[in-house]
Amino acid sequence: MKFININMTARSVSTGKVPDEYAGLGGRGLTSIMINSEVPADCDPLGPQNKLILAPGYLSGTPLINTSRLSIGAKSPLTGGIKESNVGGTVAADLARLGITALIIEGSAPAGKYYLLKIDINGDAELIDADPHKGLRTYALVEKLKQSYGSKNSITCIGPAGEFQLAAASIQTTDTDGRPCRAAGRGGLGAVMGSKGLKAVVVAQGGKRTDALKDSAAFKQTAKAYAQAVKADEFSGQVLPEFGTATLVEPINAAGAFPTRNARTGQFEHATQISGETLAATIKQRGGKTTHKGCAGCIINCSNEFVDKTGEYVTSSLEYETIWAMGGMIGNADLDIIARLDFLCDDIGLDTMSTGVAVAVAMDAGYRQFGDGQAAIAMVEEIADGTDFGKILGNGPAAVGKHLNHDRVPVIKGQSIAAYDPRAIQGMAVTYATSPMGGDHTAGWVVDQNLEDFGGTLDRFAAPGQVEASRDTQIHMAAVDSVGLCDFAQSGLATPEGIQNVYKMITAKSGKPFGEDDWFELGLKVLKAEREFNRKAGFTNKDDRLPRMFYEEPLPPFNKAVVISDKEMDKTFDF
Amino acid sequence: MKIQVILFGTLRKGFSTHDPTHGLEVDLADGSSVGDLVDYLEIPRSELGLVSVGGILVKADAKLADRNCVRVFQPIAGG
Repeated sequence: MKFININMTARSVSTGKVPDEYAGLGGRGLTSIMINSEVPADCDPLGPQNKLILAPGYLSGTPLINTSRLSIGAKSPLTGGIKESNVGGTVAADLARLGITALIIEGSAPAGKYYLLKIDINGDAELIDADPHKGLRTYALVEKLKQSYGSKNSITCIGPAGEFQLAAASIQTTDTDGRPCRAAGRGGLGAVMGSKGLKAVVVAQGGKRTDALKDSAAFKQTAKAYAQAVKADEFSGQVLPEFGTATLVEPINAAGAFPTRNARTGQFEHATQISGETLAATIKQRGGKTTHKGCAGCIINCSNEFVDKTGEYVTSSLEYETIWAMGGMIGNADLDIIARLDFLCDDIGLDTMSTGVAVAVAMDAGYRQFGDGQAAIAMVEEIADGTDFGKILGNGPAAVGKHLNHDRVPVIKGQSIAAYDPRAIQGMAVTYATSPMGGDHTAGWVVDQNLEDFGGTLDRFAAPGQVEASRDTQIHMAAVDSVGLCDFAQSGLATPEGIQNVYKMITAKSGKPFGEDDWFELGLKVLKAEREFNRKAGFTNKDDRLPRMFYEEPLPPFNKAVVISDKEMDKTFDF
Repeated sequence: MKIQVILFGTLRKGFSTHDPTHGLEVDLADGSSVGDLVDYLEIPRSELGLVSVGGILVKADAKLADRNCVRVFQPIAGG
């Protein structure tokens, strides 16, 4: 249990005990509560006062499966509010195995100067000159760093977009194959890392300094039961390994909730060409990999390895949200182009969702034609080239809308929606509008309540129950993101013991009783800290609204608009 | 009446004649519902998420008509 503080202005590294006020926190809970306490809410997100915090989840590095989740937090240059973006890969497990609770990066190196942070097998950290790596894209960078430091390291880094400090810049991290293909995409945290002058964090793998479990036997027994439940679940045990998250394309499209051509319609007529079923068949036929392990300790294997017609690696992993952003949202039905755009975003260090939606807004404004995949590739390449338009595109959809004087921009607090149109799933309208993160699907995914059980337990086109569903899920997810459990491994909650197993493991690690009330309190505490930061940063209830297009333009084919009133939206966090 | 059924995800397993594009053709008695179709296919309700007929999500008691195209999806989770 230690913090490593890195001051980029002083170029100093210091290690210390976790302060009492942060004890027992991990992941999003730690990053958000710390940022609210220590970062001036009115600071320049790209200035030295902002802090970039990297924190493994509370259960990362333990014997529990699917817990290599790293939360990265800061004030966001995209939203102007607080941000936590979490990512898989191997780094969270590796940091936890070195007994590191968080890396806290503050200050700024002189403009144009870059360093990398190297953490060795003893958990000792040093800053190393990274000027020779300036301008490198992430795949080339990772290869260079592996040559210098060996392959037994997890590498977390930025590409050119982060160096340009663009608001759609991601932080990329390596998967189990050592490729920088996992992204903390949302909120422009790559730009914050770039503003610090930090090009990469290299973390030794195989540490043996994991925080001790107070009751190791109880933890292991419960973790085993939890893993069995995840395996036994049809979705996480069978569907995800075979089709990946792309399995969502067909049902969401069937529900008319697949935002198409900058959310002008809710169904993409070519959805079958980019579906999970087609993706899996294409990969298999070409000799790529479905059922691929992206993250340390994963037993679901929802990742994939997409190859071209000659069997050459293109990208990993092609996910639902990217297939939407680079597919339906820009009117493109060519999986090869989607895969190429996914690779480019990973390589340049860009959020695929913000970038895809930015391209969609440009196409909607007539800058290029919908469906022109080659134009989309050329536009994304412009970001790496640093052209004037590339910099606008790399700053996300709102920047593109402003530049092209186009008001159909599907963003909330500056961040784009995800692959669920809020007009066809009203609960997602509540989550997008009210999440402290801005437009964000993982913050409160209420799609199941709206669609499953033969069309939903809630009326997806009506308001009743949507605020409550979103609120409950947002509180729950704030806790999930704090313990570092993979979203999809939540299937383990479906057993008779359900979430009790998670409480038991937290108790077995901490030695302190933990139950349902504590879980709820944890989630609430995190959300309150995030809301408080945003208030201090100048946000009001008026920021908890969707763009006019969602209220005023009924979405074909069901021709419904968002019906949640402002008053109802404001009840979401009426606590 | 004849119903076209397209199954998604791992629901296709166990239906060797299922074509990825056209699915299966099923003969059902007139007046059958979506629930009847699901039972005929012997798909447990716990393995079902969404069912659409002609692009519209339907409940189990929705009545089917000759030549309807029914899409059957598994439960989903997301993030």
